Amino acid sequence: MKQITLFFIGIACLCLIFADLEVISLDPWFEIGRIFQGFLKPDFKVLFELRTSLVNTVIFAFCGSSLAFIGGIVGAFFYKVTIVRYLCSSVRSIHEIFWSFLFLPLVGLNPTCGILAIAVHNTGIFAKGLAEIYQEADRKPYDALPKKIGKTSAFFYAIIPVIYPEIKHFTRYRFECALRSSAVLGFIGLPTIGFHLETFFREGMYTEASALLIAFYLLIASLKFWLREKMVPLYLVCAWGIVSTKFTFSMENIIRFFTYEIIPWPMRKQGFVDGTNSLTFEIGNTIAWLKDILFLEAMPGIFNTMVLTQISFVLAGLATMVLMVTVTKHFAPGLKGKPGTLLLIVLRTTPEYILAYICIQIFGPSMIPAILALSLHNGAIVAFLTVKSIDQIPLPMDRSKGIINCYFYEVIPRIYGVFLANLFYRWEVMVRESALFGILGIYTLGFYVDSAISDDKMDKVIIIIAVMALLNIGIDSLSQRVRRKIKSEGTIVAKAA
Amino acid sequence: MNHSKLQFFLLALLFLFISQNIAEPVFSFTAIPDQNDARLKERFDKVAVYLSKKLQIPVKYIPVKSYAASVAAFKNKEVQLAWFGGLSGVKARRAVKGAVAIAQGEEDMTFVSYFIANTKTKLKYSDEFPKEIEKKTFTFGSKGSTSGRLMPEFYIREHMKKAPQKIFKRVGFSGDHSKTIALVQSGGYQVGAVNYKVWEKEITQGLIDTNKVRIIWKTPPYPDYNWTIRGDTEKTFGQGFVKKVQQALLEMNDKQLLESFPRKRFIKADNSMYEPILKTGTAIGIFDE
Amino acid sequence: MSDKQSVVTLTDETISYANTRGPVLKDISLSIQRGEHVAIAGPSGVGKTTLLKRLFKEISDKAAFVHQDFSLVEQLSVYHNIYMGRLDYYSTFHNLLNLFRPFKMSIFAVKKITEQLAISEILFKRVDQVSGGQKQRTAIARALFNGSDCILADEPVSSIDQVNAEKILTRLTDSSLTLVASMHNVSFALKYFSRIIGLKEGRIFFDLPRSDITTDQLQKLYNQ
Repeated sequence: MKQITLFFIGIACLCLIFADLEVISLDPWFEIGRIFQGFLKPDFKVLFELRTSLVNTVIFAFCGSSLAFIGGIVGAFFYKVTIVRYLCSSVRSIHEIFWSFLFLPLVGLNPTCGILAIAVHNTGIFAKGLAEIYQEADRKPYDALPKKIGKTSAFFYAIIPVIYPEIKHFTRYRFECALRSSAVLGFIGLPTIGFHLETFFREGMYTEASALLIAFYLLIASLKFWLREKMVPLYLVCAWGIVSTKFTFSMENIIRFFTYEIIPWPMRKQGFVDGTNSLTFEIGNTIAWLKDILFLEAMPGIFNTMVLTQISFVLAGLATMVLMVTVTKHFAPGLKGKPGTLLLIVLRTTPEYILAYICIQIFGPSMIPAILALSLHNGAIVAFLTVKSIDQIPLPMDRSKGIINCYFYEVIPRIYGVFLANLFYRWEVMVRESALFGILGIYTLGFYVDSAISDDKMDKVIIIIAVMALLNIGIDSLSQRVRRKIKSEGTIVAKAA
Repeated sequence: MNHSKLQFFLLALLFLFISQNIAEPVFSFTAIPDQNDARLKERFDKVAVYLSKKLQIPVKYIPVKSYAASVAAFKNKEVQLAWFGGLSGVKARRAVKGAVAIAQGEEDMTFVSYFIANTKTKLKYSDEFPKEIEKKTFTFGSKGSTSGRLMPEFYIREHMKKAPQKIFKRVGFSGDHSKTIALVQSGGYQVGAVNYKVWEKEITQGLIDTNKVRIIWKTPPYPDYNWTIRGDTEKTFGQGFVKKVQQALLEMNDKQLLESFPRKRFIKADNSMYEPILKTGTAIGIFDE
Repeated sequence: MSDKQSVVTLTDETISYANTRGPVLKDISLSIQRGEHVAIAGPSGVGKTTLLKRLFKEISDKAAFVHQDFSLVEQLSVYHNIYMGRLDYYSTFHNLLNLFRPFKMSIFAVKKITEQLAISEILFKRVDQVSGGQKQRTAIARALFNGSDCILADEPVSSIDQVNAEKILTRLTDSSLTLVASMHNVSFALKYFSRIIGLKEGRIFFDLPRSDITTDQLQKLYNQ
């Protein structure tokens, strides 16, 4: 574990040389001050005006995650099939925003686009999650059934009831994630709260922005009160009822997208020039075209994405260490831990994309805001996961009186394995988000996707998104390997925690 | 609220929504988000009301977040009419057969971009292209903007013989013209390129501190913004509909409405007027050739 | 009672832990003198640990404690665990550096103690890779490294073989250290300690110098 740690810190230091760490805006403190002022007196009047966007945010999440749930069940049933597994992981590796970029030319900029984006991305996640829950289910009740009982009945009697609580828990968590994604989709123009947040933050209207953000926090914090199991069917009926009136799609678009727009330009060129829109198979030119994209855009994009990720990865670990001290019951018992906990919740609930957007308004589009957003958000999540283990450590009564002494000698060595495993669990997510931040003006993969979208070149968009998916799948499997290694090194770690 | 009451409430809400949304086909339009304006929707809704009165059909304004989204919406028939920039107009008409430019602002045949610089750079106004901007930091507007990206990049390449990424210390895309001005004024970027209309509007509104930012160069004139309509609207709304829309736009004379664009008035336009944009776009690689 | 040489004194104490249903000790009065070697004996579950912890609470700033479960950080080396005995003596900065790169001075000091306990060859092994006896000796070394002249030890040789256990007890009792230890091994208690406190049914059953203890008393202590 020591080697892994030193190796990753080394890489991050190397990355610092290549990172663009300039503060582009001149007066960040002034802007930060204004944001704080905005949060001190939020203008809740705007909420009434923007109520449809709040409703839309929830509706998209309901419709998207219900579709994903159904798709996930199907995927989970066939998860043993290799192709299904690959399909799920590639679907999962593309961020909702990029999915919405892909669906935009198919169905237009409307609810359908947002719902499909959430649904497709989460189908991959549900398939994996449900399959894992099924695999790890307690088989004793199933094995205890008389042998003559049919498989289906056995499944419904001895498996489903056993794993139901976990499925419920997982689905609830994914719904919360879908709510966040739904909000973020507004930033590219879908009618959720992100649409207005983007305007408010871009134009420095912080009293309005803070009101909307606070409403969003409350929405998520109150989930446990309004997301009751019995109410879910009704919510779904309402959500689908409302959405069904807004469905639009034209077969013409879909056909044009698949048979024309995503075909590499060299194949379309002849037909475009002579006006027939026919396709020619220009193998040589297509390869040259592909090479250009890969070498001039995908490669630098991957490089910057990884530079950003690796720096943020180490800093997220650092942020975790700091955040954990402020919330663990050992060092911050009772009321003392409350401010830290609040900070943790805010950092965790605010989607990275929104955090990054805010930071970019403050510091300008260099890597600094992206690093800040990534490391704080992920640090908060890892801290949240790891601090549970810390709280369970029985600290001896004759421990050192210094908090830092005690933290580094008694606590961290005991939970280091758990901490690293949790951090690596976020690695792939951080790569995905780093790529995404390209649309905010940092030169990661997303930048090139955004440029291609802006030039209306769907053929190029598809290629770069495919590269992005491959990168993500690669990192995902690497991270799994590292986590397995950590686990094998620290069997006792897990027990102590 | 107990469950049954809440259920009733939600169902009532559902019917309200559905009844609101089932209606006759509406004529929709959009506009590229080229400047700072949180009240954009309010202002364009007034334009919708105007068009609705003139055309005798319901008209709806659909707000978008980006130039690309406005083109996508036009391609996907979500809007039938759009207030495009030169470049986005060409993209839209290239993608939609039968789409035509029907009107432009009086100023749009001779549109220019300003190169602006933070005064700390000591750059001064000149008629010659300011080659001293080399090695400075530079921001365009949106990636899809004609006056904030296409034309400035074209002239930069023409005079410096290199791609912007190789000329400047840093190249950014601010997103819109107001943001470009704000960034250059604050010193975030040393030099930038903006739409002259937005610059002048913000000057008269007193939003610009001329002690901190000044114009250093004007591009030669080029054609820019335009109203573009889908050809297939005649199928839905009847023969002669395109002409009717054109007429309505040309007759718009309410100062308040025109201020949203901001233009003095609208005049006739056609597709061929924007040939130079296509050529420039091809030259810098925005359009594949 | 007001003896200047007294290290710790309890008078008519009732000792229990609020959140556990552990043993409760009643009417406990005792005084430990400087340099005394006191063994606490009695059937298991009678409250030996409870009494030791209560004593430690009184004098936590001038005594070291050897836990029955060792309370070592398994993921750190033997050296680091021993070093932890003196965390509060050094600056935090010094401690953090030492975590990543042990100081020669401290290694030297720690080594001196580990040599006496025969664990210097495993100094840089992770604790989770050493045997139970070695862990216990590490815990004792930590208490010694702390440098206090009073050690409270909860079954300090329970996991150590007879030969080594006797060596260690000799080392612990052959100095000016004040030692209070719970001992389940009565013969060790009689051999190495100068005074023995017997606990039975939540009370002090006897508190006598070694020489005054009879076999009869010991039998009564352990029999129902």
